[in-house]
Amino acid sequence: MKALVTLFIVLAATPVFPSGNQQKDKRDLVYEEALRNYKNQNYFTALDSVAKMYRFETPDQNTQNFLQKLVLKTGTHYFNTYSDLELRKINIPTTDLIMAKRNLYLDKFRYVHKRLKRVPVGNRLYPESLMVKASAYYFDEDYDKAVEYFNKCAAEANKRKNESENKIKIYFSVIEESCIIDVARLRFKQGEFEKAIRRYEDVPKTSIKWPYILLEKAWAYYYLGNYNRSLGLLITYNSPLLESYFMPEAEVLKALNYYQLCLYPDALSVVNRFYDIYKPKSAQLKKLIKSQNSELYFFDLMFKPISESEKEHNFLRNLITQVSKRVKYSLDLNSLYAVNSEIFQNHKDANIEKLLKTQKDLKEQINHYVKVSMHKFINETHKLSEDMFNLKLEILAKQRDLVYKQESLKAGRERGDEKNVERKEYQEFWTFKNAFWADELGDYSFGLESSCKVNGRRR
Amino acid sequence: MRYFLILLLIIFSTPVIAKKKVIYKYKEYEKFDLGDLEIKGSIVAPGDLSVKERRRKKFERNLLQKKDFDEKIIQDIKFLR
Repeated sequence: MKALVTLFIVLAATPVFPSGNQQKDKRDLVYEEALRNYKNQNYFTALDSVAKMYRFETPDQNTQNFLQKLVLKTGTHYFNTYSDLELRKINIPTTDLIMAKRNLYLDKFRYVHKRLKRVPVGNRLYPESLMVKASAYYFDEDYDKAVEYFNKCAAEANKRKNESENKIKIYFSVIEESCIIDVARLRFKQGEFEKAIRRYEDVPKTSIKWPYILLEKAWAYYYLGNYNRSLGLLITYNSPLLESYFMPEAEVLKALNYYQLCLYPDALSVVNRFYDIYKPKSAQLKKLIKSQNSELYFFDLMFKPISESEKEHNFLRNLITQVSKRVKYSLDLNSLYAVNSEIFQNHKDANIEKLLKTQKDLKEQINHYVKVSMHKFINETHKLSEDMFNLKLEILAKQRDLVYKQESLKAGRERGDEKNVERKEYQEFWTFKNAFWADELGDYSFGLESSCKVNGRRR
Repeated sequence: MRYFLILLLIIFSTPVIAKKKVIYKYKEYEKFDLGDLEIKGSIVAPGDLSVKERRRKKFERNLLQKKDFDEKIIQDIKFLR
């Protein structure tokens, strides 16, 4: 009994939590060890140990700077699984940006601004933070502020782009162009289509974003009633250079343009092509994707030679090309290569267990990302086939009305004329001779005459 | 003479002032024999068949519209990291 009481007293006297000094010593030890790991290029191991230490308390400025340095090497993937509370404690621009984005997706705009206030101007993430901030203003319907910040974002990204090299340069280019495009989208939403088109034209043809904005620009021309120009933009996707950018929505818009010009047979041929070629292909792709049992099928697909993936399905090749050009994919791939090289290095201090787990996480993340992109494409095709069906009914109804009224449409079947092309003063006219020249891409216009004037006479 | 004229005026103005109650009566039943009616004129018939056009009901289908690119703005942010 006496021994038991003594043991109890000893246990009670031992502090359950380490004292302040002990904790500080532990922190110093972890920091020193992490610094050593950083010097030995064990970046992921270093980040894990420091971030774990400060999961529930804010690190001092020195450690914050060190964390920021580590994130530049590892990427932001590590913090993706952190809760908001944990992110707030870490208190570095990276975590602030992650939190701001989460709040943006939840429409909590006030918190977006609160988080982004802390990203310093000199930080590499500053242009991206401006893009998120401007988007928050946009969704909050404060359009003047949104334009101001989108323009600021484009200017900051441009400045940094000119000072950077290689992949970082591409990252800043994408941000700059995205901010320019977002202003155009804002004008589009406001119904100022001319202004939107002018802003879209600020994106260079060499940009990786350029193929996507052709469709948006074509919508702007469609709403301006310039169907010939809209069709000309959409025909750009037929050029061999843009073969990988097949977009089902472009087909619907093409048919809509013909419909508005009352060229019903042309509209019907686009609709029928969609049903005969694209929809069955999309269904085949769905079947192919569903039949795969491998856990990392989509990840592996990204590394298959194009000739092989094309054999499986030609849409696969297109989608792989599109996904591989996205910044997110490049950043995740960079992180994966960094983990792989750390594993390969096999340093005695490296936390191999953690590294293998991170490697698996990254592969799963890329796999998921590619999978989502492909399913999105299939779903979009499926949804748009409904729109095509509605359009087909509408075309058939118009044709039936003409028969009932014993009327015929004005124009014959002879094709376009230069006089039907609306041109700006600075635009020149060249005839198309079945060849796509890179510098002409995106500047095409059809010269079709509207057939909407009725020619027939009622008896 | 003056008194005589006044008297004449009084006598002739009396039926104008006095309102006579007039009762109108309509026939309660009247029969027309259309076969027995004779109408003078010439018969004009249309040369061909004509049907009065009925206004057809128009069903407006929802064609694809693009009001904004909000989804793309979010997508661009998500595609960054």
